[in-house]
Amino acid sequence: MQEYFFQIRSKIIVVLIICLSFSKLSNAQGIYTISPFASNYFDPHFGIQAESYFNLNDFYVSFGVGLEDTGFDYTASFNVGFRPYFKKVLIEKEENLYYQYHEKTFLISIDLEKRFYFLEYNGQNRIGIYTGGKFGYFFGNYRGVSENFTKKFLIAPGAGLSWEFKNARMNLGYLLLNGSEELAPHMIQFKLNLFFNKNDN
Amino acid sequence: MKYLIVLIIAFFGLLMSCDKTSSSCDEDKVCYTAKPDSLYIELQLSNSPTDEPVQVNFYIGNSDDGELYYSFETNNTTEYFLMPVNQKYSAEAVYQYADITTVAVDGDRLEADYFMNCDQKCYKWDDLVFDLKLKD
Repeated sequence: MQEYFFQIRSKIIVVLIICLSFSKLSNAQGIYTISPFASNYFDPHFGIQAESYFNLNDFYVSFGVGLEDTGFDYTASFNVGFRPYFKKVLIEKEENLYYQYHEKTFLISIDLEKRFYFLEYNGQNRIGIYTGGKFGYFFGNYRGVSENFTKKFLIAPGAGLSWEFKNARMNLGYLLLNGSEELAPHMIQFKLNLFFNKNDN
Repeated sequence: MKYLIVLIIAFFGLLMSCDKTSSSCDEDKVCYTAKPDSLYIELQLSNSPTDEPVQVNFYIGNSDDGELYYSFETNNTTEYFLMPVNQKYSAEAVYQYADITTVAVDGDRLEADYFMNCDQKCYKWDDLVFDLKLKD
């Protein structure tokens, strides 16, 4: 019974978030184009973000905190991402000798992102594109062994569409994550950012 | 601001639902209040790719730096070990096919997990499962 109520509660929360998002768009007074290069002032905020990057073989979640500049439209944040489950991977130790491990991987990164908005409605809601990357340390955790077989510094570039509201932003795009040989590098990236202390001016 | 409120409510809702010390009370629920000293570890194995049995090594600690506890060959797809709790264990299954050797490894800490019911600690007697099956 408790699980049933938990499922219902989760669904209600998701529906509420979607409704709030679309109510903003439906109240639009009109959509008009803006120059993506017109932003030239510093408007910093503290921001938090939740993110997922995934493909058919893999799934990661990530959480971050950092600086949101809604004037120049960039973000710099510290993020911790991880695969929230163990996955079987094969690692070749010698010729014709393979070890199969249960692997969980992590990515600790500094994320940089720049956005270019070309549509605006309701005065403060904007639609555009983003580009950026994760600069970080990728490492693994394996069940039943003390050794760590995956550890490397990497750069993971990404780009896609960005939809910004007054205090929140959604990004949907592509991420190239070359973590390990076992990991398919082409991923879909979905990111939700919240930023604070933003006023109407 | 509306987004923030919804997300904060969602966050605390999830936190509260994960708290196993927040005790509900179901009088009909079976509750083992005695903490077990030993529990079973279940080894799940694939069928051997050849007719030869699969070599299994069971370790106290990790397989690369632990103590080899028992080594045997088997054609079964499930094996059990009754072992003391509060200790880390691991196991390897060695599969041979032609010239190729694949060693499947798994391990974890064996602990007596519990849940709260009517302000009582109820211990779970579930097996710890080591998945040594070959990936598809």
